[in-house]
Amino acid sequence: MSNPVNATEGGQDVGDRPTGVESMPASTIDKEAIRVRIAAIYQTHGDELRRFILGVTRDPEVASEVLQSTLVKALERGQEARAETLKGWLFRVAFHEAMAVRRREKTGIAAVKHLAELGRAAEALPEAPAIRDETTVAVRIALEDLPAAQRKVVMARMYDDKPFAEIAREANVPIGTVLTRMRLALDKLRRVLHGHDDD
Amino acid sequence: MSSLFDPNDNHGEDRDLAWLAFRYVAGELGAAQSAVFERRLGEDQVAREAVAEAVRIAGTVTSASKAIRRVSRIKTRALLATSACFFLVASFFVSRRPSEPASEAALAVAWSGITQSAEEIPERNDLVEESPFHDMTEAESTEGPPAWLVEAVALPVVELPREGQGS
Repeated sequence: MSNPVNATEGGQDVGDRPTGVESMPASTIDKEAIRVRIAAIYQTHGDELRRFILGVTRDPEVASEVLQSTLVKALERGQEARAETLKGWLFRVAFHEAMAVRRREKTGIAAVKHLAELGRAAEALPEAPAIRDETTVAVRIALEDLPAAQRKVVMARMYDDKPFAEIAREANVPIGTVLTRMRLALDKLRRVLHGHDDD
Repeated sequence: MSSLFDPNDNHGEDRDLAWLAFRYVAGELGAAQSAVFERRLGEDQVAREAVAEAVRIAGTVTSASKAIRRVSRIKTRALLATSACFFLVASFFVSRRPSEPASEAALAVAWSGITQSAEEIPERNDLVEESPFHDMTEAESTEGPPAWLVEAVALPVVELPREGQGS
């Protein structure tokens, strides 16, 4: 059995060949190895990748298009990435694809979907239902445990999609106070999410 | 961006980045700030992951907020339904409470009050003949309530059947 063709920078070994491919040409073996690697990365970080793309494009339909082109690019050029940085490489490819689509479709900040719609789109991402339900329960409890002032700001901004200026006007407080409340609430919600992920 | 929290806190930069990523995702950054952050996204995997986390928070808060609002609506409806039932039950029992028969003495007092009030009302000759009481003499009215009224009050209370129910 000949050594596998080095497919990464610096001549790193791509690892054991899949069974039954000994007779394939080296280029096919490389592509197969890359496909396996990309699939493994996607299985582990696919949800995060989709959320990142959604955060940049802020449009679920555009995000789907970007995800597809990202995976195609990854399969075509995956050999350029080193194994230990494959996740970062994949995200970088996704970012550039997202920006290219935005430039092509001339979508900018003015065309951004509202945060509440983004939240609903993120909610609809195909994450494992059991995980999503547990996370939702944990966040709901955390929301209910927030001081009332912080909870009102969070729900007004993220669920009712009110701008911070309007929230400040209705509460009769400076906008800086509203932003501080939002930030403090966000810190607590992040801690809950991270704590939940570690369980 | 300086941290709002303990400067010795090692996670201050993480929080600053998380806040910046949230504002980017929420469309709260101006065009220039957004462009600067996007240049960072092209090079910084930590920033990219912060954006993904901000989207995740938006999604879970949306789900959690729906649940909170749903529970709140259910509680409000349950409270209204309970109040309505209580009101209906209370109204039912109030309407069914029989009136207490007046004693003859109480009836006499009430009758004298009525006749006194009647004396204060200026007589209209055209109504006197039409009134069912126009045959009453002044002497009869001062002596007390008529016998037929006393007998009627003394009768036991009989609950009449409701409309629509069989006798």
